[in-house]
Formats: sequence, C-alpha cells, structure tokens
Amino acid sequence: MKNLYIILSLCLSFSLMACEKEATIELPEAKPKAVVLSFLCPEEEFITVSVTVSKPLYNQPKSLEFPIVPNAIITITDNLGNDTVIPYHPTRLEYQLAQANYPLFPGRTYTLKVKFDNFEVSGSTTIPATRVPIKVAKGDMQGVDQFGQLQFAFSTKWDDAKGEKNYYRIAIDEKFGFSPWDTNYTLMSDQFQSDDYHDGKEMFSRSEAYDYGEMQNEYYFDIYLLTTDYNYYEFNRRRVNYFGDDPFSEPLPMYSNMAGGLGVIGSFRRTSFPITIKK
Amino acid sequence: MNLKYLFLYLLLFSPFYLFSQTRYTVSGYIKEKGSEELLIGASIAIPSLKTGTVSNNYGFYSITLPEGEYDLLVSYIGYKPKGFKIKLNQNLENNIWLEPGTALQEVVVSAEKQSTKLAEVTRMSVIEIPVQQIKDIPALLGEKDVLKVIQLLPGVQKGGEGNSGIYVRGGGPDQNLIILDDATVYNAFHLFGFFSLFNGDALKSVELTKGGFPARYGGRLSSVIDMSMKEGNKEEFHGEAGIGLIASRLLLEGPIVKGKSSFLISGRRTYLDVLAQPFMPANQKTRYYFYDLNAKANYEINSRNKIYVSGYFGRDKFFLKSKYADQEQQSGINWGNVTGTIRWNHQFAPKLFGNLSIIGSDYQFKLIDESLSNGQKFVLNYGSGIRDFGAKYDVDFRPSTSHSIKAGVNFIYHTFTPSALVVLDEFSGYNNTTKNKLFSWENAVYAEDDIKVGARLRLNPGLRLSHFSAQGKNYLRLEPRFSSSYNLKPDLAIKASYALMNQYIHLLSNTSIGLPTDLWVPTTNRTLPQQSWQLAAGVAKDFLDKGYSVSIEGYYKESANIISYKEGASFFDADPADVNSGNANSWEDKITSGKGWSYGAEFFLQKKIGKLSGWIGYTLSWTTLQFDELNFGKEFYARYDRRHDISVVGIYEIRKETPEHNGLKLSGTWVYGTGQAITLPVAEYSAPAHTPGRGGSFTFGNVYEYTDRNAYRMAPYHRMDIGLQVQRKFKRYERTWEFSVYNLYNRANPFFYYISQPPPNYDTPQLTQVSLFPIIPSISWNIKF
Repeated sequence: MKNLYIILSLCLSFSLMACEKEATIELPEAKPKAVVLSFLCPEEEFITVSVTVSKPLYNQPKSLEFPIVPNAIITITDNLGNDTVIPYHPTRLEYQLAQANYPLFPGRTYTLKVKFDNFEVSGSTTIPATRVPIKVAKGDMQGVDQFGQLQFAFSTKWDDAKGEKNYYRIAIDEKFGFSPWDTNYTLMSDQFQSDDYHDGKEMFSRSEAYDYGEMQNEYYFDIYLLTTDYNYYEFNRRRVNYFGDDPFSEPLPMYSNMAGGLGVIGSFRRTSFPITIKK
Repeated sequence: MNLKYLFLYLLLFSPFYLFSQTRYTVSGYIKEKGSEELLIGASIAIPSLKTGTVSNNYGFYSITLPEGEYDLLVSYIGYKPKGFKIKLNQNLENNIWLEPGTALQEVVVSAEKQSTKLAEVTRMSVIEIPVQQIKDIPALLGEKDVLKVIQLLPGVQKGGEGNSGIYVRGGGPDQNLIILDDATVYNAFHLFGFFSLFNGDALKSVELTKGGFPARYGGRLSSVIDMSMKEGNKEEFHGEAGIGLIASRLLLEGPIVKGKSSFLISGRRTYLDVLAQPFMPANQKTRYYFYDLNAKANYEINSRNKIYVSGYFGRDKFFLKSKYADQEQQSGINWGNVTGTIRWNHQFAPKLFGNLSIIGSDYQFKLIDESLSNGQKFVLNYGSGIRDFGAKYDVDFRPSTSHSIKAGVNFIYHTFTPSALVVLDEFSGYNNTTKNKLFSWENAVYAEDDIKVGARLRLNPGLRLSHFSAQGKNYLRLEPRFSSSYNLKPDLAIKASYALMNQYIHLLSNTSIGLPTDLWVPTTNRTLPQQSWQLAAGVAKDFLDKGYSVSIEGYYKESANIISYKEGASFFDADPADVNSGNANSWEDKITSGKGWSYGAEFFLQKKIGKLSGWIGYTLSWTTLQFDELNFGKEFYARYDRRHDISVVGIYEIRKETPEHNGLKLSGTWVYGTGQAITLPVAEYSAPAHTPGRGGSFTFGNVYEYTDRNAYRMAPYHRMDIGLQVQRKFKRYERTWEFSVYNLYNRANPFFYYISQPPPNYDTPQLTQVSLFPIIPSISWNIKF
C-alpha cells in the first residue's frame, strides 16, 4: 500500500508547480481550555485523571510540551451521591485515587468535576454493567514476510450482550523478556467495533501482527477485550484514527464530553486472554 | 400521485379524440446538407397557425395538421433557414436538408445542436451548450473540456482548483447523471480530476438539466448531463487533428456506404510519459498517461429504420517500475471507463417514433503491487468497479401540435465490486483471493407529455415509477415531475417546476478531488436510496433582435439519505493488504446518512449568435447538511457551499478568414466564487489514547482542536483566461493556431491550507495557502481536412 501513497503523492505533485504563501483569510480565535482525561475501570487498582491546558495555535511559538496542572481540585461523585476528592500525585504527574478508598461499581454513573485557576469543567460516564468474556481466542505464526518480519494472525470471538448498545476495543500486546523482573509489553494490534447491526450475535475480530525480533521458540501475547461506554469508544476510536493535518480529507475532530473544556471521561470493563505461540 | 389521477389525466388529455378530424402528418428527418448529419432540436414552424415543433434527439420531426396548404419554416442556428410549401391532403414523408450558412450572421457550427427560443420551451433549468463554444473557450494547457465549461454555468460549482468535478444546486458529484449516447459514465475524470473524459471533438450536443427533470431521466438527485456523439459524415471523408502541450487528438469520419452509412472515430492521448522517458534512470521508471477513444458507426436500413453503434474507451495509467540487483518491483494504479451503445431507431408511423438502446457501461479501478525478491514473488492486486448491462425503449408520439408524448421503460443490471483482492506471497505460502460482489436491478417506466393549452400555456406533467432490487430487498418509488410555462408575451415566459428524484447508487468519497479510489456502492438493506425534491420558478425572456436570452430562476431543494464516510473513515483505513475484515471493515459500517438543504437564485444571460457570443452567469446560493454522526450532529455548510458565483464568457470573432487574411477569434472567461467552506484548527492539546493493556498505545503527539465543520472560508477564487484562435483555409485543409493563457493575472487561488512553521524560527505555526496553477500559457495547432 505504501506504493499507492507514493503514486498518489506523485499525482498530486502537480504541486511541483504549486506555490505557498501565508494565508490571508480570517483566522479563528481560541482561548486556552482545560483538557481532562480519565478512563474508569472497576478492574483497575486506581482511578487516574490527567489535567492539562490547550494552547491557541496561531501567532505564538509552538511548544510540544503540555505540563500537567498540579493545583486542580477534582471531585468524583456517583449517581447515589457518594463523592470524594482525587488528590494530585507529584511523582506520577497525575491525579490518583486507590479504588480501595473509593471503589467503582458497574452500572453506576460517575461525574468528574475539575476546578483550577479560571477553569471549571465536568463530565460523566456510566460504567458498562456487563464485562463481556472472550469466548475463543487463537493465534498462529504465518511465517516471515518479504520485509523479513515475523507475521502472526489472531482471531477473537465473543458474544454480544443482547438488547444493549455495546462498544468494544480489541487489543493485542506482545510480552517480551525472559524473567519476571525484566518484562516489557508492546501493543501489536488495536481495533474498535460496535454492535451496530450485530446486536446479540457472535462478534469476531481478526488481526495480524508483525515482529522484527529474532526467532524465538515461543512468543507470548495477551489479547484484551474491553467493553466500553460510548465516551471511551468514540474518543479513543477517533484518537487512534487521527492523522493530523491532511489537506485531502476532512479533519477528524476529537470527541469530548467535558463541559467547559476538552478531553473525556469514559469507562470500560476488561477481560484478557494469554496466548503462547510456538515456533 | 395516485394512479387514478393518472388515468383521469389520460382521459382528459388523451389525444385520440383528435382522430375524429381529418388530419394528416408531415414527418421526416432534418439533416445537414453535405454530411447527412442529423440535426437535434431544429425548429419547424407553421407561421399561419403560430405553432410548430422541434426535431428530437435523432433528428426526427412529426407534425400533424388539418388538411390544407401550409408554409413551413425550418431554422437552426448556424444554418440558412429554409421555407417551403406543403399541400397536406395525405401523410407526407419529407426529409429536410439545411445548409450551413451565415444568413443570420451566426456562428457556423457544423452539425451541432443549437437551441430554440427559451421562452418557447416548457422545461426550465436546462442549458444547452453549443459544442463550438466548448472548443472556443480557453482551457488549462489547451485541453478543451466539456465539464469545465459546464462549471462556468450558473447553479454549477466546481470542486477545487483545476478540478473537473461538478456540484449542481448543492448536490455532490455523485448526484450527476452523465450520459454519453444513453450510456452512464461513472468516473468522468482523467488525471485525478484535472481533465474530464470529454474533449468535445466527437460531440454533437451537450445539455445540462439542473431541475424540473422530465420523467425520462432518473437515478440521480442533482443533474443530468446528456451528451450525444456525432454520427460521422455520410458523404465525404473528413478529419481533424490537434497537437497540444500535453496531448494530441485525431478525429476521422466518413461514409461506409455513401448516403446510408458512416463512421466516426476520435482519439486522444497524453505523451508526457514518452517525452520524460529518456531522462529517467534505467533502473527506475515512472510513467503516467491517459487516453480516450470515441467511435461510432451507423447504418440507415431504410427511411424508417436506422442503427447506431457507439462506444467510449478511456484509461488512466500510473505506474512505477524499479529493478535492482536481486529485487524487481512494479506498482501502479489504473482506472478507466468503457461504454457501448447499440441503438435502433424505428419509425412506426408518421406520428410515432421509437428507439431501442442496448447499453453497457463499465468502470474499473485497479491497484497493483508486485515484487520479485530472491526469486520469490509477492503479488497484491486490488480492484473495485461497477459494471452495467441495460436496455431501454423510448417512444416519441406526436399526435397533434398540442401534444408531444414520451414514454419508455428502462432496465439496468448493476454488478458492483466494492473490493476484489488477490494476495500471493510465495515466501510465506500465503494466498488469498476475495471478491466481494453485489448485484442489483434498477428499472423504471415513465410517461410525460408536453402539452400546449391555448396559445400561452405549456405543461409538461410526467410520472416515473422506479424500482431497485438488491440483496432480496425491493424499493418501488413513484416520482412525479411537472414543468409549466406561461407566455406573458411571445418572448417572455414565467416558468415553474417540481421534481421528485431517487438515487439508488452511491459514491463513497472522503476527498474533494475525485480520486479513482472513490467507491460506487448500491442501495442495500441498510443503505437507503437517496431522495430529493426540488421546486423551481423563474422568468425567461428572449431578445430576438439582439440574439440573446435572459433567465432568472429561484430554487429550493431538500435531500434525504445522502451518504458520507463517518469522520475518520476512508478508503485508506481499510488497507486492502490487511485481510483482517472482521465485522468492522464493511463499507456499510463506515458510512453515515444525513440530510441536505439547498436554495438560491440564478441569473443567466446567454448570447449564442453574432460576432460576440457567450454568457454571464450569477448564482446566489446556500447549501447546508446535517448528519447525526458528522460535526457531532450539528448542521454545517457543505464544502462546496458558495454564496456568490459569477462567470463571464465571451467569444468575439475579430474577423472572418479571407484569402488575404487569417480569421481571428478572441475568447475569454472570468470567474469569481466565494471561497470554499473549510474546517480550521484553532488550538493544540495533549490527548494520548488510553492504553488498553500494558503495551502502551499507537498514538503519540498532540491533536488539534478544530472549528465547527466548514465554519470558515478559503480565500475567494477568481481567475481570467484568454485565448486567440488564428484560422486559415488552404486548398485541402483548414488550420487553426490557438494561443491561450490560463490565469492571466496570475491570481494565487487556494488549493488547500495547512499549518506550517516557517523560517526564520521554525517555531511559530502559520496557516499556509498552497496554490496550484500560476499563469500558464499554452499553444496548440489544429487542422481540419
């Protein structure tokens, strides 16, 4: 496929004749906004929240750094009125609260309120009640492709919960390392599916993964099936498909459910399935 | 419309009661003297009765009158009018030959369609474009282009700089029915939209319908571009040839059996690839070229039966080929159309004319990626396309001067191939062949009648019943159509029209530049037919003494079930090499449907004859869209929404060619359009995707915050082109030098914008405009023999 991109680029290189100049049209004005990201999961040990501030784009030097805001007051409240404050963790550079102190419950709606300086934002998520299990997961080595990569194929099946709107993320990690204290993971595949037109049916995902590593006797993978709420799904689906400033396709705006700001509060349930593939 | 009203209508307006009177019919064909080319839309008038008719698409005319003696006046712009007497005491067959001439000091256009008076036509929102004007209007790199001339008409917007895509009254480029000799052309572009398939040499007539669609047309929401090819000279052998900067053309025509049968063949090919070859390294070649070929032949079996065979073949090819020590690689994309039509004209009776068309149309796109490495082969072939086989039968029944009835049936069998994939990897032993095909029937039956009620009122009611069948699902839809015209004065008419349209096939496109990767897909169980209704009203006035006409029209159009890719989905996110098509990769999962609204007003002043011809068009319009899954459900302006659009086209014959002097013709165009609607980034922020497991995330870096979709505007587009034709007749041939300048005042029109970080500091983002075509002079040389 990369050749197709090359060819299309060449075709569009009528821009050999093209000239560039600073645009003289009216530019949109923007103010900095609070950006809040938090993904809640009852199966995780901590509730974490990240808080940063966006930067208007034009007429000021660009900085790739978006430092974490350390002085925000963050409260989380469920739909039964239970609330607490999420404190800042200076070494992890995020706001963190152990679920031992404030457990998350499937099916409940949680609202996050964030205040700092002149910013005030809030958003809500309802944690999926169902944690959909993986029914069948398989993996196989396909061989070495023309670029010298090891090629693996995976298939995952699960049953969609009938009568409810469900969103799924299917991810595959490869585990590297040969001892428990020297282990690394790399994301190999990442897919998003909704049960549109498949309500209550068996769902299926097939993916391929490539590995430049040296030939081993065994390869270790973890397949994750995340059952997510719409907020989690839509933000992450768009984020993974975001390619930035492509002049030949419509821009992909990021999803946000944070009133008064940017970012998202979403939630998910996770199941995983380990797979070992032998040479 | 309920069926009972249809029957009531047939009873009320049935022409059969007329048979009780003693009436006779004069009928026949109107032809060009010298070539026998049939003339479409020639006017036949009976001044004593203040009535008349026009020849149909096959040059046939029929007029039924009470017994008596009449003067007939036959006229056609570019030809000497002809008057003669007939004594009508029996049915007469009377072919009429018109001689090309300058009796009205008009531009002589050999065998090309010219219009009748605007105020005398019932239909509205229709523009006929004289083919000679297409040839006279200056063009980018000298390549004459029908669709780019259509872009200059009011109500029509273009896609982008240099692009041939057309957007009619707020509709998308897939909503235009482009017909060449009854065959649908699916991808009308060469070179990624910079040139269209139609170069004008082989065309006899071009007609654009933007609203008030007659019942004989269907299957698209926004416009019909109906083109007919020339038949070829039945008397003498002739040809035309042209050499331009990027392509050359050749047309040959002549008799097969003198007076009865003729052929025409016309071809064009670019040759930049040939010229560039010597400058490329031996082990790496890149080539691009396109060609197209039109061919037509006809045979007149007898005065009542004629057969036509015509076809179009065109292809674009782009490929890279490299060869190194132990590796060979070739990649490419190619796409092209093939259309073919066989037509049989049969005159059943003096008043009844029929035409059977057997039609084939095929559009295919292919992506090829092959390599040979260490003796092992890797092949990836991806294709998509649409293939039609169809038949239609149309009758033209002219029982009296008050009625002109058209009726017909139409069947098309579509084969869609949204994706066909072949992967062969000898090293891994992986083989995969996937061919995803969808089949459907698209059928229709229609009837319409052009009725004169008294001296002032004309009505054209029609009804079309369309049917589409795919995946076991049937859609049956009634489409009422209505046009009317009321003459306040003989040269001044007010007009109104209504049309309900359904579109059963859709084009999936995520770009504005008409890439061949755009996919044609059918209506299915999940993807509903697109539907629109349009109401239009206007005034038309002819200024006969000055040879021009003016029309002002307003329109309102609503569309439903129009489709678009979801945000972030495109052809490219389904990498054909990635055979992981679980549930998520179906094209139906990537699209969303919505609604559209378009309204506006158009002003059109056209002058077709005289030393100065051309037009001025102005459009004021609004187009908005709403999709639940785009722009977070909020209504937004269409990318091609254009508040103001102006075009001025002028062709001035400085002097006619004489034995002493060259003929000189100056032409120019000026266009202005409000900038295209665009979405701009406003801010940047950090938003990494969530890590699903322990292995991190594929995403990194920051993202932009955008304005609402299409909330801002590009800079206005304006440009002037000029051309000068220098003609000279020699003993055996006529040659024309054409000098033209595209973008005369070197306006930097925006092609796209992007965020750059320019020098000296390379750290401050700046919105940068990229422009494509600066001032571009060109020259071409043409001969006719």
